[in-house]
Amino acid sequence: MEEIKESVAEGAPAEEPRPRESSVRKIRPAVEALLFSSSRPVRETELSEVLEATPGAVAAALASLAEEAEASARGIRLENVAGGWRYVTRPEFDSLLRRFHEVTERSRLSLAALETLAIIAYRQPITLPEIQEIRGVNSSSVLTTLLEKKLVTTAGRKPVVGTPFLYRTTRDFLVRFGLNELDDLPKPEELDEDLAATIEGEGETSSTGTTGESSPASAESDAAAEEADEEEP
Amino acid sequence: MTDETAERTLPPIAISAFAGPFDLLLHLIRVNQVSITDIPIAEITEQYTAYLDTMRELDLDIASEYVAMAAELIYIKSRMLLPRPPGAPEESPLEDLARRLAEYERYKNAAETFHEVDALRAGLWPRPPTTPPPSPDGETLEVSLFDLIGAFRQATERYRLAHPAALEIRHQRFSVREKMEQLLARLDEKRTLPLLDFFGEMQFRAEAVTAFLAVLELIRLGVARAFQREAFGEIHVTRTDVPFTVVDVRDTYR
Repeated sequence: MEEIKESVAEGAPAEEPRPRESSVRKIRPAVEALLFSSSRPVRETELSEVLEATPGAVAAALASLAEEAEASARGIRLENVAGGWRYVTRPEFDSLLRRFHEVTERSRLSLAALETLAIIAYRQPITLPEIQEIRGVNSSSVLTTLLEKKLVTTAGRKPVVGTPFLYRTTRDFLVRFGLNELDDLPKPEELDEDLAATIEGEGETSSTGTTGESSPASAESDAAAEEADEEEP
Repeated sequence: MTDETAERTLPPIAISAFAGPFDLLLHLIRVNQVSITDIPIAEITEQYTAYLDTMRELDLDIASEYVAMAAELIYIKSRMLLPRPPGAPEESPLEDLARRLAEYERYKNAAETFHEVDALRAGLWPRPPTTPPPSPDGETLEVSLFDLIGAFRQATERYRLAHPAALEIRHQRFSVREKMEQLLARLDEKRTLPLLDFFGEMQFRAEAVTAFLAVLELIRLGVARAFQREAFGEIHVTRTDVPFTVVDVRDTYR
């Protein structure tokens, strides 16, 4: 999201030789068309392969597209997520879009599902009994929900008594939570700070300042306002 | 009596609002403004059981884990009243509980962060899934084992509805080999067919089970592939380019 500029700025000069202006300008519309036609994030390697362009040129074209979307007041922006790129609408238009498409309800994950998902995300691959040991409660139906939503999947079996299934998170998980890779998960220490902030600011329901680095900072104020309108489950 | 104290000291929160006994315990610890490492076990145990009592009075189902935790708390409390026997391990049961609570809390906090991020990101609309205009065959999704099992359950359910319990005494035997041949023949004819159509051809439950195993076997061999055109869409089976004929089936599975 807003890391776009940084990540590309870091990535582009590392490529040598420097992509030529002309080649970047040539593939830029093609990159835009490819992204426009895809609902899932498209990897840079896929782009350079289909366009027969150098990774440097693709990165430069993406950076230029992202910059343009940021700079000129556009309704969409280019997002770098799950190791790829995709166009998404800006958060401030959420309520407008929901009104237009007549979307009233949105599938929310329950507290239990989020807990289970967090355990799997940080401890993967992990078995159901191990999850239940941490949560202190039966978690099989919650796990089924996560499997159905394709946020987690099986990852073989653990060679212990009963050979239980191991579970891991999926690419859909990364996309949903705006992570580029699993290493982008907030570190446990950051979560503690998060909690400290929550306790200090108790009474204030706004999420401002407690979401830390994992949330899109520029979108935060608008989206937080949007969020306040929504009913908590 | 206990109800009065419970009502006075505890905010009325339904137990369904808690994700489990650890969650309820953490809530009590928070409300009492004490630290996880320094739990006043007597008070917390009393409040915890008061919660369960209230729930019971409201005639709500209490998951067994909550009751087990109550038992554990009472056990810890009793252990702490007794002097530690000489040579007993250093770690008190309370320390063990504190460690587990701390670990649980880490993930609970992570879940809260996840919730916030999820709420923020729900407002970002990606491009809807598109089917490229020229080819109606479009993009296909790989089908997982769970989708296959789901389709099979759907088929057996259809079978059950279409075949009410009847008198049936003939014992039929079906072989996976035979079903593999049957499916291969169908695939050679049509190349792609809806999985439910194939299951629908089966007359008996055992036959459908055998057919399901045959599908799995052909997928394992790479001879057939299962896919769906959209999430939760109809599952289709298709023939891959792997050379494998009915004769091969006969030779391989005797």
